[in-house]
Amino acid sequence: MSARPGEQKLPHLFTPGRLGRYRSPNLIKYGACCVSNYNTRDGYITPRELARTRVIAGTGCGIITNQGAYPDPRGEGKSYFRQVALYDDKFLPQFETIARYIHDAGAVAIQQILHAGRYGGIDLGYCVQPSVVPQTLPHFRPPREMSKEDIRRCIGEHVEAAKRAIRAGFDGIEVTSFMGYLLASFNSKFTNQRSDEYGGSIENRGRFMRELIDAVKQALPEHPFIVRLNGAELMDRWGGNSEDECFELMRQAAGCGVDMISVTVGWQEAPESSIGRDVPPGYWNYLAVRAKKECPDTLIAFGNRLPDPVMADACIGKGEFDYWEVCRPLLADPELVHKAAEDRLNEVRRCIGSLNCLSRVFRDLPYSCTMNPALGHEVEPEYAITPAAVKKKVMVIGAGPAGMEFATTAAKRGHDVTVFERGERIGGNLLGYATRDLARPEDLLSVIRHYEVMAQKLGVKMQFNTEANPKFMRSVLHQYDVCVVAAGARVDLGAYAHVEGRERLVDALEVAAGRVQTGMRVVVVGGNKVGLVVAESLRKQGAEVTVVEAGKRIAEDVMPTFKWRHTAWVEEMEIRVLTLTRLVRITPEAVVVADAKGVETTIPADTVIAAAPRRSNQELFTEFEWMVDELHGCGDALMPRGLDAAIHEGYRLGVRI
Amino acid sequence: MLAPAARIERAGGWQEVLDRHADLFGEVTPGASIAIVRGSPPRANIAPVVEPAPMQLWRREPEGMRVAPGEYRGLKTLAADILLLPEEGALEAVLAHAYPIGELKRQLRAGRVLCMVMRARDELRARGWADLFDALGLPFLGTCR
Repeated sequence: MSARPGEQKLPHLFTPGRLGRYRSPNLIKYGACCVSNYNTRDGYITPRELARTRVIAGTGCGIITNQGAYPDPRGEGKSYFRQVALYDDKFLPQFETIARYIHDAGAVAIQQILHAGRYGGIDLGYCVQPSVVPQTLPHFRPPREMSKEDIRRCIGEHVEAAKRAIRAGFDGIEVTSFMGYLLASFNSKFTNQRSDEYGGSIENRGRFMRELIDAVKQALPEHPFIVRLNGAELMDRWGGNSEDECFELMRQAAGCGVDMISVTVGWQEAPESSIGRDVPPGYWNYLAVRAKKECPDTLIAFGNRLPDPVMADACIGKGEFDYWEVCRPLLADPELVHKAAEDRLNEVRRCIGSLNCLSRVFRDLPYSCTMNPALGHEVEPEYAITPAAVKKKVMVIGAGPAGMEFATTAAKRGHDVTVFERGERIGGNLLGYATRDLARPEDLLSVIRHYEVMAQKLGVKMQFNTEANPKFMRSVLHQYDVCVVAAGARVDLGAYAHVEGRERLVDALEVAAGRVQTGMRVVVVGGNKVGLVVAESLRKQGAEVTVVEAGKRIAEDVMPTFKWRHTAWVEEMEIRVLTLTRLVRITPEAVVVADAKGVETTIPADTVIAAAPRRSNQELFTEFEWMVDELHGCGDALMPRGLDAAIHEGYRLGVRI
Repeated sequence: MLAPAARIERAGGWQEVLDRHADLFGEVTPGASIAIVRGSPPRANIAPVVEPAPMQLWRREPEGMRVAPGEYRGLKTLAADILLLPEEGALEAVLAHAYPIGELKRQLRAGRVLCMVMRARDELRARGWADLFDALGLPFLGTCR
């Protein structure tokens, strides 16, 4: 079969590879980056999970790693609410199904065994560790020290789980010695305070890992063995391993004859970013380069904050690593590899690094993806894009994410879709928000570019500079079967009707869109995400900025894993924040605010920006009610929220209209 | 090396800090406490065996949070809910700052102060520490950044 056009452009990525005695059709490894939480509380794989893994199997990756299963019947290794188990044969039938899916797709099937150690024991009220070193985050359980007998038993349980996975049809095994999980906590000089042969020197600290690798390899000599290890723990400031020590541990693993080392970054409790969109793509590549240099005879897989197949292809071409390990970008778009192979990368829905997936997992919820509304719903026919039984003429009001997600989904089903937008391009309020994003505007702007490409490809008609109102609606009366109001939300300036000098308030969304110029002494009323993004961008431009928030905290509507970034930026940029404070009056030179006790403070200001409260643009629902057969709404037009709700609602409406 | 008692004693001014941030401790239950033990590197004090060392306790009394001296004999005997392990100079930086809790948060993020939780999440919540954790930017739920 001749290579597809994209494969010729990415020749390194699409080169066949070999893992042990198994041939992989390309050099892409699906990484078990995120536990799904789709399974039962007692570790059984569900139909929901099977449907999801069928999609994973079909991603086109040459190696597929199935998500980590805990190996012990006590659940000490269990870290996640609905994590799968592999401590008994009773779990085998579903693993057999998953292995079959992967093989049917032509990939090498790897089962990860995940004993979470320091982060485990979710149902037990304790976790096991090399030593009693308390947690730095209250989310995790208090520690108990493992005895040597515990260590031996744990190795035995890993061996049995590994043999079970092979019996289920998997080709190889991956174990987790990274991110603070059990083996990593033994490797670490922060959490390992032991004085026996498993503690002290790095040779001793790595002993448990080496013994476990040896035991599994002896039991399954014909099957590839992969170990995930940190290239950087980001824990060194707290007494954890330095990068040099991390690489010494890699050499130990390589010395045990592992077939592949998967290089990762960070512990869960590490105080700095490793995978969020505030970390630029390629930032951690140097760790893979060093791993390849230090362990030249071992395959190196890498993909942390490397979401772009073009970059990955270049890295493999330069010999920086052997396999591109990718997961989150494939959550966002399971077709990524196929689109790359077919030279359709412009159609890819990119992972925007919002970490919605992890935010939910750490709240014991099934993971989901901002960019992929169908993720986790593969088992439900209602979420599938199927041809519409009745092809309709559909008008959409608003070209923001909700409207465009609906429009492209409905168009895929065969509907004739026209989008009316009062602005002059796709994006809605996201456009201004994205361009002012302090983390990485390119990620959010990729959402807009995706809709631009797909609208054109799917024949969605775009009518820009068109204000939707009753007069306009009368002009198109009876031309459409369906109207979808996706007009977004606005700042509710009416909420300040009682405030003296309210006419001086400017709308944060207008500022974000660049339609209003601001001065150098700015007060932003509302410490929500809109207010913070505007405040941060103006501060970056040199303005003196104060944020006034009526609530107890700022960033309350921000994605949990991104909340701390805003609070950190606010501190780093020295933006003054006044919480439990309300606006009293505005003068030409200042703003007067009052705290919870009514004590007033005057803040010099030449611009006062209102970012809260937000109000849905719902007027069209009543105005259009008797003018069209079907009237629907989605996104912020129903209730002001954010990108995730906009995309998901647009999709859900699109698949059923 | 552990700090001499006199250095902890000199950490005066903390009562003013606690009084100033009384709103963060409003829900803390009587008897709940935070222990602060100096050491450089901070992890020196989480070793299985440590020399007795002076520590500062922030304990909830009926009238509010109170600063008291204490003696640290290691993790096993520590009754506090939270253990703060600052590096040399970190506490002084916190105390000298116009907004000490904000500076403590910065020092935590910079790794100059290590915070260890000595109780399970639900206990910490029940003992009223949620507001302080929030102010220090320590999520009650897990994270992966």
